Amino acid sequence: MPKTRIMAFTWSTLKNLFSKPATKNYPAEPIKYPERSRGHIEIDIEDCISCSMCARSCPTGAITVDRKELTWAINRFDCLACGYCVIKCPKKCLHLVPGYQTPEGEKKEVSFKRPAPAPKPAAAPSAAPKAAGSASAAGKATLNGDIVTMANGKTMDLSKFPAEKKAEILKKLGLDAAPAPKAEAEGKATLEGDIVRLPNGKTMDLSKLPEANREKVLQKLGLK
Amino acid sequence: MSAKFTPKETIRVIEKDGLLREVMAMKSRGMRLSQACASYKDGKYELSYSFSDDETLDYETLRVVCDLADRIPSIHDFYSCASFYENEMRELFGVKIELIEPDYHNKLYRIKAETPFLPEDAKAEQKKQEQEISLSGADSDLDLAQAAADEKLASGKKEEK
Amino acid sequence: MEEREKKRSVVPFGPQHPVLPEPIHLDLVLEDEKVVDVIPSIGFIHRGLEDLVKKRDFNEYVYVAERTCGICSFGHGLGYVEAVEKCMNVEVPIRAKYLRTIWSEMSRIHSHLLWAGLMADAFGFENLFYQCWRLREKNLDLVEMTTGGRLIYSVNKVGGVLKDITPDMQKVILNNLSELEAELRDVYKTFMTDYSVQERTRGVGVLTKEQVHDLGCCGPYARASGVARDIRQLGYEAYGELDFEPVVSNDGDNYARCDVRLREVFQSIDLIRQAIAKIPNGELSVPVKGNPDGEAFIRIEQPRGEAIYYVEGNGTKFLNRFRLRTPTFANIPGMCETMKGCSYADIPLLVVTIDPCISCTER
Repeated sequence: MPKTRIMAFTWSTLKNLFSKPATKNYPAEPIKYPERSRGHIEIDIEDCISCSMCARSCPTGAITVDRKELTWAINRFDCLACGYCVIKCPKKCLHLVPGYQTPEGEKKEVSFKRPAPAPKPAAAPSAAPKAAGSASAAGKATLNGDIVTMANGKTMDLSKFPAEKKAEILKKLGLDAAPAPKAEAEGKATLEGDIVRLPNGKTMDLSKLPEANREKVLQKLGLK
Repeated sequence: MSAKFTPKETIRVIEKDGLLREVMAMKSRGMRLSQACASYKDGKYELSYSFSDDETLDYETLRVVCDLADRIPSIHDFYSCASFYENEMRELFGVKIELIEPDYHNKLYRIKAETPFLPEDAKAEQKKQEQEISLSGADSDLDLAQAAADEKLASGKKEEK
Repeated sequence: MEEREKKRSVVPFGPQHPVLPEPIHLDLVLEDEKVVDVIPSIGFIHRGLEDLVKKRDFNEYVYVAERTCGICSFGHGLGYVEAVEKCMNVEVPIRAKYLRTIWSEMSRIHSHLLWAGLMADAFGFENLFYQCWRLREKNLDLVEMTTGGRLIYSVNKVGGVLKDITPDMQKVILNNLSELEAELRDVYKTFMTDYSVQERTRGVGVLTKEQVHDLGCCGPYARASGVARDIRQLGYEAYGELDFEPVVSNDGDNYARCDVRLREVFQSIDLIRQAIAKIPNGELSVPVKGNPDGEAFIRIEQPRGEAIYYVEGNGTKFLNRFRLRTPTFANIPGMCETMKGCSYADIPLLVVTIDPCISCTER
């Protein structure tokens, strides 16, 4: 038979009556969130490459990426702060930081625009001598298909340069042998069933893309 | 150190007609009905009835693979708690389980869509199979018993009013 | 003298009721003030989450599975991830297992303290209700410090865990748990010895061991009637290396259920201490390649009882079926049985003693 007491809670009640309240005086006192608190997503927009991995992985569809307009938009009211986009981003430009979205009258999107990537002809002349310079300073470079691996470990994708610039770079690096023309001959992408083989050697599986995107990709590569 | 258990976890496929006999065997061994669920795979239903032994924590699952229009008897005679599971299977997947007690008549989850977990092409296939069966005129015992149960329910409601 | 035929009336209870944390509807058939029959009906928050496996790939679905319920959220994420790992034969590193165990026990503490508060509120003892929830805040602060969220942890992934508990954090956890334990002793004493609490809970809603077995009840609800079984004894995650016994009581009434759940909080604090003392160094997760193919059943001891997770994969990145059977689903028949023959005023208490988590039940 367990003990029975009357007013067993009195001592705790009196203690609570004369000690400071358990609640915090928010919003008069600002809240200090712990370091790991998951509040909202922030983006380093300069590093974004508009690959849309984050938009595809978001469970609620709060992120919209527009490749043409170079924008990245998030609807903060739909975002759950789960952190899946942060894991999936290949450039690691998304961060989950403390601080919750304050309540407002209606949902809205917050949009960021990234700077346009520099046009290719302007980039090639500055990159090629720099690359050639570093290679000659550090040792010999090697060529594998369209990828040049410098002696310092850095890689350069030759398919991004126009043909004459490619020949110039290879000559400077001392790699102007048979591989260069081979790269030029392989300038077109090929389609094998659902697999697209790109000139730089990479492959892409079209069955993983939604229907609408498949058409766009084939048109861009000149395979349709 | 706390007791170590090495439970056996098995999945056994049985025939639809042997379901009641197997469940009776489970009941006589003192197993507790743990869960019952349905799944749709490759044009057939896969029903899983799982039983757990509270002494040794063994876990046995009976698997019934049946066609879309097959009629499955309810096991509430042996396990009265099975009614929720069977109502759910019928409402979400459209499995034809009969003589459930109490019968919620597809209103357990109050969903607007009918059998939402079953894909559209499977629904069409199920209708086709049902038509074939009714055309062949096979009125099973379950059918008559279900009709009797429905009538009793209707007359009971009238009495209360 | 003729015996007057007793008139029966049907009174609806719920879905909105001050004592219910989540909506459930009961049709109570009353004869004067005594309940004769109960017809439960659910379905107010069915969201069809099990069907979402066809639209969210198996890695992303963890975030959906976690959000089935706010109180048992870590358990659902853990059960789903374990089922997929068993299907794909992935072996999780040992440190990740210990971390999952620690978070699982923290989830249990928070859930039982929440229940204790609701129980106190159900019989009108609001002061005790606030005290229990104030202790729960201490626990939630620890959870937020380690995972980033108070209720939804988002720390599980297929193959391991995403975050670590550093040695500094472990010290803070041990300190705070000691404070929590000291204050909890007052609350436990009040629950068990106060006269008004005993009047409302002793001898009410009795279920015998045989009834519990027939009705398929599980968890603390069954352990309060003498069934000495706890699914943690299976040894999943790191439980095989920790030392504990199931907390059992033999009375089978509401008082016994309060006793079992509060003693389980003390047991959880002890388990966390054991786990922190034994936790080995190692990786947090392993990379997972390929897609799930096959099926797996997993059983987990949630705060409310035995939860079963069934996963069926078909070789693509979308699963074919995910089934989650929650403990409340199994305890509802038991609840209806306790109500037959009781007085109408005891109904709110009897509903709260099964620790109803209807959003898990309906998914």
